Amino acid sequence: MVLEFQDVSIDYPNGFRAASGVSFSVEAGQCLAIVGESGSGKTTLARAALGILPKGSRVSGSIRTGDTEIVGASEKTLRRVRGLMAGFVSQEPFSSFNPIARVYDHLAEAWRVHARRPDALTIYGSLEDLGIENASRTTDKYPFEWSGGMLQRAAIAAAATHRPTIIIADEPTSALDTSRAESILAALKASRAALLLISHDIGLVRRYADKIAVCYEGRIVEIGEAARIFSRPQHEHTKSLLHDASAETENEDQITSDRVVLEAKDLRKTYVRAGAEMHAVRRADLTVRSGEIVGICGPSGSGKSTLLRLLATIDTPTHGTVLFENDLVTSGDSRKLQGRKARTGFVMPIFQDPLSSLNANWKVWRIVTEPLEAKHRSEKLTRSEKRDIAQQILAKVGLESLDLDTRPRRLSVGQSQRISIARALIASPKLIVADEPTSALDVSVSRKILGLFAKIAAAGTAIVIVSHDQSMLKNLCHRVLRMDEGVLLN
Amino acid sequence: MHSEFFSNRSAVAGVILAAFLLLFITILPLASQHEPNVQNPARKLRGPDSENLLGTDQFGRDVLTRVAVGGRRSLGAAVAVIGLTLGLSVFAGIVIALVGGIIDSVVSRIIEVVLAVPSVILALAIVGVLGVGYLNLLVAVVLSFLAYYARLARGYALSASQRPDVITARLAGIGWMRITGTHIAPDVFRQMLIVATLDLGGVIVTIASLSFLGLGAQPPDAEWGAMLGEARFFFTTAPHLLLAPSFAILLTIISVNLIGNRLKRIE
Repeated sequence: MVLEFQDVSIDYPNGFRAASGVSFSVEAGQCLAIVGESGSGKTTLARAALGILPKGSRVSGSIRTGDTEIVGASEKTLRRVRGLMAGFVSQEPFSSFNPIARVYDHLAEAWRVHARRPDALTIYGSLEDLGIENASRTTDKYPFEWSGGMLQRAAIAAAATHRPTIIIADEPTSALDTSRAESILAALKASRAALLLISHDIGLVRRYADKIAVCYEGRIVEIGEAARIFSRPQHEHTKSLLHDASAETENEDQITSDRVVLEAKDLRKTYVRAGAEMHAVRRADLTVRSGEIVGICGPSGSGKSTLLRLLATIDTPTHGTVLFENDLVTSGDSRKLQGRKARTGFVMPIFQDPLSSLNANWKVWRIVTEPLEAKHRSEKLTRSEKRDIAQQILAKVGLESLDLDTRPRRLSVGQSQRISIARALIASPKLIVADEPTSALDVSVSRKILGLFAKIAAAGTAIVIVSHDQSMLKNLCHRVLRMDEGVLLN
Repeated sequence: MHSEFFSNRSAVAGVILAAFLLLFITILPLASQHEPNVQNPARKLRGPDSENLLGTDQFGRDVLTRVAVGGRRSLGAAVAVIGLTLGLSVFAGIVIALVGGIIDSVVSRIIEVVLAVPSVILALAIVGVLGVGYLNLLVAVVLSFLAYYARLARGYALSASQRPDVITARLAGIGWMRITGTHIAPDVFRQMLIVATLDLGGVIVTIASLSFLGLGAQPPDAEWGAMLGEARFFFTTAPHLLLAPSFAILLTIISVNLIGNRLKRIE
């Protein structure tokens, strides 16, 4: 038994009960995966195991690793536990590395904090085992010169430095695409430590976990052998999680149209900051047909958001062209928009933060019908006509019972995002571009939003979605393209 | 918004204080049996008594009445100055932010140069050019505050123009003027109004300081700063002359700051 939770309840300083009555155990060499929606308490459990909960949190019950009790342990005990017995791989690789220290120093630190002299050859070896070539040279670089995937592997190497009995990995693959995620998990398994894996990626969990615990509202609602959980889920919530994950939309062969809506040729965008050139987009060619959903994935900083702004003609490219239905709209030669289709609601955006997308002082009906005020529309509508239209369009996005006079502050994030979508639809766009439209939402809410996207596309509107969540894109999109260091790979 | 504002005790205190001050400056001069500018040499420099509740000044004028009448001038001027500054700066800020390019660069550099001069000194210089007088003083204060406000409004307008709701409206084909009128200007105005409320105290002090120096309201007109300016010659013999207008300024500033702070919090 390398890690055991017995009846653990955790209250945050603000009184929020993040976990209640949680019990589970991890045996040596075993991989236990905790799955659940965001906000279900998964990360809290990982932090509790390492004694790194926010100050003032109250923990009851017992958490033991080996012979050591963690609940109420002194900082000295905890320090020994972290690293020697348990390694930690965090969610966001960039934020867990100090940007002004070289990668080598991070790995060496894992030795020094336990009063051991770092051994360069062992460090290089551990990285090369994880597929990082030329470790002796690359570790001389700074974290921001590494990619997210490489840093994540370095974090694993650091966590595994002292052959800990258990590695706790909180969403170790959320910033990575599938092939890299697989190699990370393979590397974690190869360390031969037991693994407490926190993940929302059911597909990955299925391949690597021995045991699965399903977390819901701070409780473990179901726990068991992975194979059993997948074949005979007991709890309703488990079933719906599995259902969400397997809900592959069968739109692979549904592209009914070959009408090209958007064509982007050799797009590039270079920013000049403080005299230095920053190539946000180096090369991107893209053709989107009507009714098609195209996903663009890639790590943060790969230029995917910038590309989306170029496609939507929010920004003008430094080089290259964007055509709407064969009609030139922007090009690198001119900072002005051209063509009849520019600024006509041809392309409408959906943003990551639904709340800031809505004018906080307007009522819902006014927000939704704003595109009807566009210059190119000659008809003048009365207030009651607009309210009728708003009512109809809100019904289309599943908000038929919403009061038209609500203001955004009374809406949930999910409702706000639906209103953004309703507003986009009212402009009758040929193309919708969405930048991480679900990253602020819960699993179940985002599933509904994605379902809405699928419906919109089926009605003929093309959609380009940018996200780092590759499994989400795979389920939803007809095509998923990768963006890497400013280059759109086909 | 209203319930949120009034859920805070100090904000309620600020509003009550403001209401009291407004009542004081509007009602008291009407109810008072004394005329603010009528001299009574027989009763000069008297301390508070039953006839003159706050005593009399060097010409035997009733201090209480003069503080109330002076308050009309001081507060009216401060509100007018802030209102004018607000309107001009929101307009200028939005224009330079949205026109951008070379105009933005040039105007922004000019603003930075102007900001390098302390506002009271700048106002002094402008009064020097325009000549002494209360109206000229107010123009000077507006001009000296304008640069700072315009720069702030420009920043708010720039960030508002990049907000998702504005980008969406642009892509939908809403005209530039309409977006500015319906999204950007109300947003900039709302944020600037909070800044202005917080600055009202500073404006009152600036106007009072310049009047104190004799650059504003001229005798026999009552004005808090001017009253302080005259009272300083008698402060050993008749300290009540200093205390009354000082206290009025103090209460006003406490009131507007309590209100302004609350507005800033709930924004």
